[in-house]
Amino acid sequence: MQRSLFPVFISAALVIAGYAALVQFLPFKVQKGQNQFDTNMLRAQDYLGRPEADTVMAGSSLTFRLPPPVLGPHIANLAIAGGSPATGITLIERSGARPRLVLVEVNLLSRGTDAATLQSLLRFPERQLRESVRAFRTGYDPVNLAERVIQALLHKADEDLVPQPDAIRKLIADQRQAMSSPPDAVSLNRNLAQIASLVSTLQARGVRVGFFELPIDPNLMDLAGEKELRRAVMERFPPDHFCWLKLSVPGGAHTIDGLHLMTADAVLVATQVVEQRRACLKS
Amino acid sequence: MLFTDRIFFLLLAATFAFYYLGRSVLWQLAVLLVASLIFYAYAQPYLLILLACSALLSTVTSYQVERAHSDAPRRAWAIAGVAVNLLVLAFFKYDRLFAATFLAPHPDGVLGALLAIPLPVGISFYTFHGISLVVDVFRAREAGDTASPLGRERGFLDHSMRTFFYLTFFPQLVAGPIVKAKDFYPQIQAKAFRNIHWYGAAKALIIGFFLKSVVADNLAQQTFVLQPPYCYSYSALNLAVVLFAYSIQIFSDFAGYSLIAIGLARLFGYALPDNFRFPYIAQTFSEFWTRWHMSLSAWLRDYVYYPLGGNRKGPHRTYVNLLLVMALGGLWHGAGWSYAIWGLWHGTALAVERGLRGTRFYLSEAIGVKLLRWALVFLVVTLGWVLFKLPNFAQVRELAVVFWQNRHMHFAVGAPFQVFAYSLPVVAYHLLYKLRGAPTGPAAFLWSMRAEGPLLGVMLGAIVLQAGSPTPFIYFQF
Repeated sequence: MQRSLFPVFISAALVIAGYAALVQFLPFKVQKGQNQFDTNMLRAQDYLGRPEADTVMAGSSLTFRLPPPVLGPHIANLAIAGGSPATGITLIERSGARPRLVLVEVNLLSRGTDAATLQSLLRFPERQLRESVRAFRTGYDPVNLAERVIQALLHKADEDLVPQPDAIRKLIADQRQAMSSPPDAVSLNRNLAQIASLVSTLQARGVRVGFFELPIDPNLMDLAGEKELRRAVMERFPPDHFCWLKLSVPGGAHTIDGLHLMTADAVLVATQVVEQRRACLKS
Repeated sequence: MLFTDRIFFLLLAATFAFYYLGRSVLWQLAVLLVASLIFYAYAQPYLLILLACSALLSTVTSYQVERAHSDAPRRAWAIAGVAVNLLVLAFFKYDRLFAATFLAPHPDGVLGALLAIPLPVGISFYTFHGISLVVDVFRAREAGDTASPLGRERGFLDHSMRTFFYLTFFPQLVAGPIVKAKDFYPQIQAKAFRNIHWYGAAKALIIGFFLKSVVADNLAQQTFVLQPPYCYSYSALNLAVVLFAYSIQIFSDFAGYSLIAIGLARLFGYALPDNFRFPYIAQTFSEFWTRWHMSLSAWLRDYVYYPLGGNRKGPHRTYVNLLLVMALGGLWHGAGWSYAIWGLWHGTALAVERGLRGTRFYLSEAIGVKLLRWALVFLVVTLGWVLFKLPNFAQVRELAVVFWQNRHMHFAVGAPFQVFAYSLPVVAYHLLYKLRGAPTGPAAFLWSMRAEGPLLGVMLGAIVLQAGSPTPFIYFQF
């Protein structure tokens, strides 16, 4: 005789319903996932659920490091670590959100839109389910929630993972080598064209668009690859037509690998974004 | 197509419905063949050409072996069948390794163009199935068996259909388990809906998806840091924890896949062999290989180790055979010298263990010694996985240097917490197996049938609430 599957389905239903009910009424909001990818998804899901910020930043893992608490409630950091600014802009465009200002990072333009990430964020019925049931949102899974609760109870801050100084020097040397040659013209032009098209769509909806280049290690600033990238971006989005933020770290940026800012510098740059955002909104 | 893709579930539902609409074996084979081809061709349709050619070669040669009336032609067809399958595997899988080692082809030349052909998914599995088919038929005929391992067939067309089905059956097409022809062909017959073993299928599917989606996919988000330059930011202790996590991840990924394949096959009335049996409780390397990827171990034993003479030709030859079989097994996993080294790593461990098996260390029944034996096996196996994670030797060296340089770095607590959380079910799964004989207590209750249903329910709940971002199955690359 076959065994019944009834106990399996009943206990699964009880586990899911019980956990969903518990999480739905939690008195706090989870702001960090178990890893960068989950934090990407969590920030994006938060924005899609309540697109209240009037300014949205689209970028790569470089912008991802600008801390949301410093950026404040008016600026949403929609940068995708491991992705490109095009993914963030496409998300804004497809979600129907209408922020007043979209700020686009131009440091890393070698990647195009990440279709899989967009699909998983916008797909029916997952998006609608996530917006109404917290337990289905990234970050509200049992393991992450347990970790956040333990962290809060122990008053532990997030750990900043910084390589040893020797390792940083090696990473910068590797970056130097990689950035010494001009970027692949075909993919750069394709990605710039894609961003330009998205920018036009947003502008047609009345959204202002601005750009920014995040400071990187001074040894990498003037390499051939960087110069060519800067020239191509300026040609496509000239400062007399678009608002450009001027972000810098006095004495040169401190990074963990040549590109990604250390926490103190990321805070400083985030402050500059907050200050210069108003000018962009008025321009 | 992945077992975790949404489109796969649509294909599965449609296939299941059509399959049981008809009651003849011909109809059911046709439905599964079409579904299997769609499954395989979904991402790269052109790979169907190679799969079809490979299947046709295995069909023709096995048919001729079956029908040959004397030894010489039978042997010739069998050799041709094995050789052709090995050639297909060598050409499409090992071409780059061969070219990179011995030639320096220009990317625009003919050789460069041939080398640009991507590795066909599942080629290692369907060529091994093809070899198994030819060899099983040949051995049965050589032994004078009157009953063919292929069962009763009605001519070449019938044989073709069965063989194409055997080689392409979608649950085992791209990553096994490797099922031997003599175990599969007798199962090919009309199946009835009322005979489906629902509980067995559901159990295999739930545990499989739990291991893959909850354990392996979440751990994958932690273990990528073993790759330089990410490893630079982590202390040696953190990296050791991550290495442990990779050991758990690779088990969960592959055992999960195998269980899903077994569960899916059960829905269509077919039994695939078990592929994993609590491998991380092994106290010896030889025991490990009777518990890890069992279908490959059995294949290598039956079709390579025994034909080489196994352990029947003296101790020295046995050591050579062990090293050779394990090196070949390593190369089967991937076309890179690092995989061969990984195989030799295990081959050496097996050979050393064989040499020491009469010593107190291997004969002692003391709990402390047993624990030491277990720790040794787990450590050696886990270190070996580095070659899987980082097939580039330079990266392995870099990771080793980082381990040393970062030995005094601060231990970060966050990631190990997650590793602990996701590894716990796998550790408990192995521990419970060790305690299966306990007459009373929590372990006895968990082993009882009363606890199994609710436990599976909790796993199903975890699949819904805690699944990680889907990653390709690690063994798909092989």
